Amino acid sequence: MNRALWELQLRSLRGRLRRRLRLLRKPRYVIGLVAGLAWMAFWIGRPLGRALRRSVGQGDAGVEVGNGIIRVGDKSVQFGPGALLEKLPAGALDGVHLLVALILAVAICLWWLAPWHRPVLRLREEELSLLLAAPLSRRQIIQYAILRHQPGIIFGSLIMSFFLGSGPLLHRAGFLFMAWLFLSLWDLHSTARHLWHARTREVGGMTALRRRIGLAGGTGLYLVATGAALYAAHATALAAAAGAGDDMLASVGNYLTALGSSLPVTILLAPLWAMVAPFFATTPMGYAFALAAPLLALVAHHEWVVRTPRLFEDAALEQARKRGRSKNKNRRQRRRWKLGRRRQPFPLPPVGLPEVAIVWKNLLQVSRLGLGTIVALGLGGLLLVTILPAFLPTPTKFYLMLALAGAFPPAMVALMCGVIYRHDLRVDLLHADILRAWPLSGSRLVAAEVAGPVISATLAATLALGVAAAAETGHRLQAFLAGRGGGQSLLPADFWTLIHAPAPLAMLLAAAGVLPLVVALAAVSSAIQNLAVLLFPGWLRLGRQRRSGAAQFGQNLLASAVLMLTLAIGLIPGLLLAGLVVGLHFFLGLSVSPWEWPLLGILTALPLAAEAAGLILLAGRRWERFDPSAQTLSED
Amino acid sequence: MPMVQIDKLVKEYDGLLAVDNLDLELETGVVLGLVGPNGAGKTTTLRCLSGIIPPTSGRILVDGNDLEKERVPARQVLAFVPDEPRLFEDLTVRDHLAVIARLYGVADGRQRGAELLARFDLSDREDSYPSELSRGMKQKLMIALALLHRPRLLILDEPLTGLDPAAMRRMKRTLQEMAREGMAVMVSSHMLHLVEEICDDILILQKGRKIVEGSLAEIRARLPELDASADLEEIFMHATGGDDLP
Repeated sequence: MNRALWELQLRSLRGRLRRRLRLLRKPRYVIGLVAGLAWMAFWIGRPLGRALRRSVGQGDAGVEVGNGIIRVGDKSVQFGPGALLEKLPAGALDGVHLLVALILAVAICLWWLAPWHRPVLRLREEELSLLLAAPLSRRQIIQYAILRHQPGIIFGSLIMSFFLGSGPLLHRAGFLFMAWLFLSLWDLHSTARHLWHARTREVGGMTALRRRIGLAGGTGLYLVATGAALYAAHATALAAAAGAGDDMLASVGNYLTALGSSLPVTILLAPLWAMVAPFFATTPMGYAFALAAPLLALVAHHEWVVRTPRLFEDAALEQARKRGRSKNKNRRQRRRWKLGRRRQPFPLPPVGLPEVAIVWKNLLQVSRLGLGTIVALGLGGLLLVTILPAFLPTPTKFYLMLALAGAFPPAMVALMCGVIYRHDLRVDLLHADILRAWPLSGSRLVAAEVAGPVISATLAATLALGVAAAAETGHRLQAFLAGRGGGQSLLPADFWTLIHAPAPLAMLLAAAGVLPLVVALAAVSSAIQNLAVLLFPGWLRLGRQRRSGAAQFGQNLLASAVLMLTLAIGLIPGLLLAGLVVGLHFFLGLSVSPWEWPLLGILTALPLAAEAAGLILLAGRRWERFDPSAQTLSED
Repeated sequence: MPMVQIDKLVKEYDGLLAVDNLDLELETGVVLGLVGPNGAGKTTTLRCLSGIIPPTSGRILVDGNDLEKERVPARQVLAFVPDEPRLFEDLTVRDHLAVIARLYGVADGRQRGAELLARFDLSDREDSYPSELSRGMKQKLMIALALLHRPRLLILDEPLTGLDPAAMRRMKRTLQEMAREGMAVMVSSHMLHLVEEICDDILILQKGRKIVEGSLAEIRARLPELDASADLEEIFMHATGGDDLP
């Protein structure tokens, strides 16, 4: 690659680093950096340090997580591929190797057949305008674009080797190199595929048709041949699997080993087999030999990509422009379907409470489905979940899992409302110059901003409660249909004896108790986030931006911890009140009747609602003094 | 009572004085042009006046309402068009109109929205998202949104940037019509010929300070060293010291 382009890459890298370092002039970035580094040292540094010590023959007691292992003192539990391989019979490694090759073969074939493709070379607008006008060959520009993928690939390799690599440091280094090689190869292959599709579209007409037919025919033939070879080997493999008896892992191992010994399968999968061979090498020499094929493939792919005749300039420029426009917006720009653009969460008449407009706008950012449609779909889904499995031989375990899946989310969704649903001031603050001119007092604006996430959380929690109710009802229905009577509950019989209420009524009363709590909890959770973003806009992520770097990561970590702690403190009054009522019942020797559940829910929700109102008022006052020029717009 | 009354407006950013003791009155039916070199404080003044950023000190009255203390009534009568069209990415053109109509309680919002879209040649883009509009279209949409609630004070920061010649011409005509109907208009621009063409009064700012204010004739009278037929460009260069540059 041209020296000037290396220079550009290096200088860009240096500039990025300097910018990051310059941020450290601000104390919050220093604090964030310390927190981020501490976190990384705890989760990544320690296991790596241990691996290093093990490789020089030292070990120590303590807890280790990572590297496909959880170790406490001398005891360890392995997870991930390493653990699985260890349990498979000897010789099954070849089978697993073949399985990986097969998965890759199928994935690549299907991927080539898929009609969509992204713009080929992802360069920024400024890079393109500089490079395309400069006296550089196309090959050099393409090389530059490919090189820009490397930081991501290296990071991915590090992550892969941290989670999947094991053993002493040399092993890990080998794994890391292979991971890098594999990801680089994948990246080049992906670029080549996109270039091929782009070129096909470019040539158009009959030539394009011929190319497409050729591709479909070739990949189809390959898949059919591979399928046939696998089918032919399947009977033998099945017999080998049966030899292992009840041991499922041994059966799988035998099956794979037998498949691996089939010559047609081996021949058909050989190219993919060779690409991942170093991952499965058991000796250093084997590893070195196995590297030859992927390295050759890398060189070949590189030449394939840089020699492309595709005119990429227009597409790259268009893509760069689009990315420039959406810099602070959704990274994964949502596909804009032509249909459904007139759908709304609910009709918005031009006259009425202005806050409703903000709620409407924020809900629209989440989904264009109408609230009525969402409720209808939810009810339909619940009805289906209740009725359909009841007619099938569904095991009770399924209903239990369904009930658990419905019972836990309401609390989680409510507590984490501020984290899960971000369609509030955290997004709107980027439009502060529009919002500030709106004729709305601060507290009313913040209340409207908080309402969107609360509505979303309440809908989700209601649906989850519905799932739990559907599980109980479905279970009873199944028993009824089987002629065992309709009284078979998922809950112990003692429970129903204790509460003295029929199941449908009890479920309704439970929902009436839980929902006010969900609303109040969600309001507190969301109000805390909205107040925090006004008080410390630099500490929280605004809009849909993703912040990278250790300092920003540390900031996110600290901000989340502080906000969670604030939320936990905020829950105390409500919990104390609820505890007092339940305690009083206990003291008087009474049980909490189902008729009291809604009252208990409302009673617990009241202090939380008061807190939410207080937080909204505070945030409203803050909004009225908020200076976007000094706070948000001057952020880095 | 003037539509806008600014008393001793000061705005500081991290020790940098962006607006320095600015006094200003703007009557209804008047188009005021705000000009000045880069960094003169034009945008900051407009942002303070539209309530986006709070002033460091000083007082701003809009239609007799204090912009800080009587936030809602003051904002109800004004509209601001920023220099960069910032729209909500997940809202279509139609959605934007619906939200603004509701926020300002425009009973005939749908009809007026359709009229404004027609006026700015955006009728066929009702279902478009901002990412599907050109910069000029976004700018036109911002102006349409600003006019939706029939504001009595219209504040525009570089409104013609990105507009095609036809839209520019229509925009100029619209501003003059609005002023004739009794709207106070404040517009900042570097296009001096435009300011000269549509503005009744001119305010030249430099380093946050008011250098000169009045109609072109008044300014010319105050600067006898200039030719009696001096245009705004000559006045501007003279007032801001641009003449001294090599």
